[in-house]
Amino acid sequence: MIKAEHLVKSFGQQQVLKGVTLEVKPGEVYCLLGANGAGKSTTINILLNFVKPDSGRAFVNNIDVEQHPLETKKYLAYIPEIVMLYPMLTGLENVRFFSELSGFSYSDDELSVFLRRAGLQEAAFRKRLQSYSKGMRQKVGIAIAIAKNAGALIMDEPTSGLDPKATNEFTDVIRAFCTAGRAVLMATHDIFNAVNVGTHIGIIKQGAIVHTLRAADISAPDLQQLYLETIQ
Amino acid sequence: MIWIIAKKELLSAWRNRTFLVAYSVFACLLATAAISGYRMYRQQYQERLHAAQETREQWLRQDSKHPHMAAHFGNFAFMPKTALSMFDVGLDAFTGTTIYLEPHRQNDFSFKPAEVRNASLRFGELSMALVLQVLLPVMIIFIAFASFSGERKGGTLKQLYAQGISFSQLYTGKFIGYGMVALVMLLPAVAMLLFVQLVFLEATAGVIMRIALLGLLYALYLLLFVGVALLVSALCKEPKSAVLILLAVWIANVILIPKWAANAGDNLHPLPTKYDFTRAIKTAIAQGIDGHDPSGARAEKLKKELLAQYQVDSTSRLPFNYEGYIMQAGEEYSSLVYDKHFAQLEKTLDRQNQISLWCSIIDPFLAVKGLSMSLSGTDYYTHLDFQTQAERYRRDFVQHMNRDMQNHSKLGDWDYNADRHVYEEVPPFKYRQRGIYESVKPYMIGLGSLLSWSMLILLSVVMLNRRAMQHIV
Repeated sequence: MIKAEHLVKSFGQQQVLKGVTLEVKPGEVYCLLGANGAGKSTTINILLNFVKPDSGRAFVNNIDVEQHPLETKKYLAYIPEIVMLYPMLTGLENVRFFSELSGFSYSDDELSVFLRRAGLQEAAFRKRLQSYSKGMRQKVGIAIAIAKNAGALIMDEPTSGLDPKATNEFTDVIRAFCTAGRAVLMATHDIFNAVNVGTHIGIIKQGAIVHTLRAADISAPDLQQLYLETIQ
Repeated sequence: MIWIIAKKELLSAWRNRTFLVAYSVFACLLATAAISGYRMYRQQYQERLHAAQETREQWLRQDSKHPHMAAHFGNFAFMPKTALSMFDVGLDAFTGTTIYLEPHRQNDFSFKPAEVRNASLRFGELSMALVLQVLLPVMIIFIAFASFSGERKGGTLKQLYAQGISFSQLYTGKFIGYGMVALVMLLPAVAMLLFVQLVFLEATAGVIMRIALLGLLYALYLLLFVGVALLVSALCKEPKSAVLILLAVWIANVILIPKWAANAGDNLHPLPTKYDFTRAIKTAIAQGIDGHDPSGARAEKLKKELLAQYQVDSTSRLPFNYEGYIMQAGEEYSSLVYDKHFAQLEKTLDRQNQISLWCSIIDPFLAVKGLSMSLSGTDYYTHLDFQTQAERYRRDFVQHMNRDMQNHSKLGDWDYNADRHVYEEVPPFKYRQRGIYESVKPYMIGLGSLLSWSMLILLSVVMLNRRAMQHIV
């Protein structure tokens, strides 16, 4: 569902990706683990066609991202590190706006269902985004992703800055995605969360994936050990 | 998809309190300009109508006197205030209002409001046109500078693109949204103008047509600014740099280029001083156009020709009053001189104007300014047309009086008196306004400029569409 083949990218003198290859099949949650600047965001930006790779190819649903940038977007939902929304619109209106852009027209009831599933409290649905906390915005972002009903979900450190309860709710939502047969790619540096929710884990260091393993094969302390050894 | 984006922009504008406050201030300003424009029009229109009636009355009621003396009593041509001058005062303040028409002399405009007004005029009159031309673009800049750059900085742009829309779709959607906001701001101006014209001024079909064209013109102008503002915003990483660039564009458009064009006109094609100009005409009449044909000699030659033609030996035996004839001949000769010198003057002024007109290719503000003045009938070429018509009238009326003297009095008979009957044969001067096409014709280049700028923006959007995605991170 999500595939990257030998991605290479340099910004000026600095080579940030040195041939990244990964694949996420339907029903899998791939956690891309790495320090800041390891190349997580660049990989994701290439998959979204926000950055053009120097070489290598990226696919969503077996369609080349660079050649069909609009087509591939139909099959993926994206949650950035900090979900940014329109402050003049309410939570409900934000979800409606983004869903309409991807071609869905939902009733208010349907939109409420998405927001509820994302864990947003009912009272906030019709309040303007101005008054939302970061966690609440993140939930609206998740609702937008749910509403898009796409086969692939790509997330860039979605849990950073969320409180433990919100992180927990978030994990449940990801599991639901996974059991619904969707492919999830998640960049993170939260090791425990990675083991908790992921099916596959890739450790990326200086633009290359140095370890790929199944989450079932490793415990959180072992992964932490491995991770720290790797990035030393 | 485009409409979804447009709708969102409109909703955001509607919910933005800052925008609504700015809009109300703007509407108040526009209303002030409309009211003062209307009052000024009303007052000056009445004044001129009254003055024209009064001078006509005086002309008709003058004592019976010798026709040439009566001609010297003179007539006045009053430039009528056009109904749309309440919208765009144009050059009205600088060109003058009245021309004194008398034999032997082609007079220039007198009573220029700028000569008697105080400092207020130096800052430009607050007309509706000024508000729309200068102020509205700034408002558009402040509304639209963050349209893309703000979303980029805020991070929403990434999420928009992640939904699978292209740059051109986003641009078009935003253009419709912000364009509608701009048109909504223009609407009260057009509505006010139409209302005043229909309710208070018994607007003719021509005036309505002109208002419609003015509406279209300003709509195009404002949409052009919307287009540029969105484009700059899309190309700038930071909202801050977008607003700086846009303000620079505005200053160049509204202040720098027009100022430069005016200065360049003055320097490249200087006008003669009033003193030199009048003296040159005086000399040419006395010495002949070519300087070798003094007026005495001209009269002598004419006399010989006449005597030969009528086969008489003295001017007193001619079947008409020789002095009347010679007077008219002198009039025609001086007309020749005036034509030549005024034509030169107009050519210089025209060259100065041409610089502005050519500058309007790069400056949409100048383009709109010219077109707006011409549609309102307050531009240079309309005033020139008035001057031409007044001069034609002067020549006809002086000729009429001279012919009356030539045909009804004997040589040396300065006791012959014309009466009211003769005065009445001279029709009052009435300025015939030019058609719309004729008014706008000198400014077509500006219209071309507006259209080509629109095309340029369209082209940029199409070109940017290919690489916009890479642009945003």
